[in-house]
Amino acid sequence: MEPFDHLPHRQPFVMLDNAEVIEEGRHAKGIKLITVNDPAVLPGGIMPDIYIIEAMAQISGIAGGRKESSRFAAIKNLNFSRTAYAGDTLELESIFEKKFSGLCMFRCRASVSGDTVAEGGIILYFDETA
Amino acid sequence: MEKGTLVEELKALIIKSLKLEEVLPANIDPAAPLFGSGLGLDSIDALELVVALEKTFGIRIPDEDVGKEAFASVNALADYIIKNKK
Repeated sequence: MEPFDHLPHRQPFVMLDNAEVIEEGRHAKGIKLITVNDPAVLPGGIMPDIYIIEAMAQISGIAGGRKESSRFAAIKNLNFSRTAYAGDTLELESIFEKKFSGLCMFRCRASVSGDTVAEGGIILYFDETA
Repeated sequence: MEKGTLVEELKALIIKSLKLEEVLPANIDPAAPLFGSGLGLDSIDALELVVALEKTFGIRIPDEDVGKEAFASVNALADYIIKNKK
């Protein structure tokens, strides 16, 4: 699946190279291939944490299945365990946990070769009027 | 469940789940609104609190209308839990 089929984002701000909906509206997985010529990657090949958070938000948006009407609202208890570098394949997974008053909580994990890079809560706002 | 004990449990849960490190349980007025003028919580805190309450007490707060009643104060939240706990 092309991620931008399910996201309003366009390059260079699409932080996913591939995505798969596991369960519509609840669960999605995706990957981000980190390369040295990626505009998000710092000299030295480090993928900044802020772009990993954005990738987690984007896979959560795909899990939630609301292309045009979702907004990144907050992160909750999100912890980083290691750095991701150019050459790594960042694997992303997001699972819907709870919705209340338009806000949706997702449990999200970013990993490289099974090692956790970041894990925590991503909160998106779904505009019910859109 | 005795309401006084539940009120104290709720104060501790609110502080822990929302990471209100500067707030002491004794400083939370159980009759004051949780949102806006009282503790000053926002809509994202409400979502966090709904998740924590479901995990801790097994209750559901299904929508905003029910939330307005349940989150009116710590006392109101204790009443809601006593009434709806399975």
